[in-house]
Amino acid sequence: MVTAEMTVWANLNFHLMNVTDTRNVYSRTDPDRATVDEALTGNVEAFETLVLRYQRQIVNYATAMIRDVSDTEDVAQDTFIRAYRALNQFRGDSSFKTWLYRIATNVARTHRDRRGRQSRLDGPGFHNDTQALQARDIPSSEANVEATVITRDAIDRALGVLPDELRVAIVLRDVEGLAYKEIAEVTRSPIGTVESRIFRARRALRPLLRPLVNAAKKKSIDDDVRTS
Amino acid sequence: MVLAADGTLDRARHEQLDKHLETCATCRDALECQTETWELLSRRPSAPVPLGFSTRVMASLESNPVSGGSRWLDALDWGVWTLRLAPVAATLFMTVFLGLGRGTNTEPVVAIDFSELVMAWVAPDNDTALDAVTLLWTDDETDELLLDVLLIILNSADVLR
Repeated sequence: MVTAEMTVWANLNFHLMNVTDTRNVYSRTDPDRATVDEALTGNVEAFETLVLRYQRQIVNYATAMIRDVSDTEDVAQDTFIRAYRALNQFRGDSSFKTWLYRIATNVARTHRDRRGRQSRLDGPGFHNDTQALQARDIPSSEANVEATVITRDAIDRALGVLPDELRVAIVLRDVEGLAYKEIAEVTRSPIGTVESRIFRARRALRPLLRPLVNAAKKKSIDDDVRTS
Repeated sequence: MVLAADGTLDRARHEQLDKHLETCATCRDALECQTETWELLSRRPSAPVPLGFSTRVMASLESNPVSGGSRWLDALDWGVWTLRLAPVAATLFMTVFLGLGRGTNTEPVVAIDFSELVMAWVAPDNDTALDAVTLLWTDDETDELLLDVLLIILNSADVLR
């Protein structure tokens, strides 16, 4: 006869087995695990290897999340410093990469909240991100550094309009290229929730990015004409 | 729809979706919207890593070595915890504030009222009793003992009369 107590124990064991399995899987498959273990023994060079491996992604993520170029480096730097200090708490139940992105997300949120309070104190009109892109935001078809910066800034400004949870999800997926499962780990949300957030974010961004989409289409047509 | 837009939908489900899209204009528009946005964002130019970034990170780690006490503090998200703990802090403050206020206001009032009553009762016709009470009062004796002494003095005075 199966009692309620036995069912609870069975569920608990199943849960514990899953957790253990997840950890084992990540310990075996995480490409950073060996370097993290080295860093945990006090090997600073090992941690530097991790910084060099992920600095491009974290700086890029920070830029898309907070948009303020002058603060991007602070957020990225703070992410690595916090990761280093909390490295002994990294249990390996997710990959090092998703763990690092989770820290970066928290640092960026804290930074943005602080900035938000500051801008409220500064009064209205300090940042007006709620408008669609203006004509000056659309780069010319000439490929140059300025156009690259303008395009990135225009996209980041549109991203800045989104609520935090939608922005995190879409930046991680469409900008950073993380898999849905990884995003679920970073945000500690079910995959279905992640998909729903990305769907809503893309739909909300479309009218804001329409001028850029049109410019990209025009550029593509121009390129085709030139080559033919 | 989301997965179809960025090319991660499996083949079987993609075929199902394609069949549906043949007859549903709303979903075709939705898929176009999803695809357009994804294509643009996935081509967003990456932000460059500032020159000497990793060197500055490592220098910062060396200049601020990890101390055992600060590790768990650093891991906390203080922005969130400050907001969560604000009501608790406010409640504690109010409790302490009200508690202190009550403690400082009540005792002297009771003591002064009672001493004045005793003075008015004893002073007119018994100076010796008044002195005794004053001595007891300064020695911080309890009210019960003080009343017992007063009753004894007054009873003895009545007997003498």
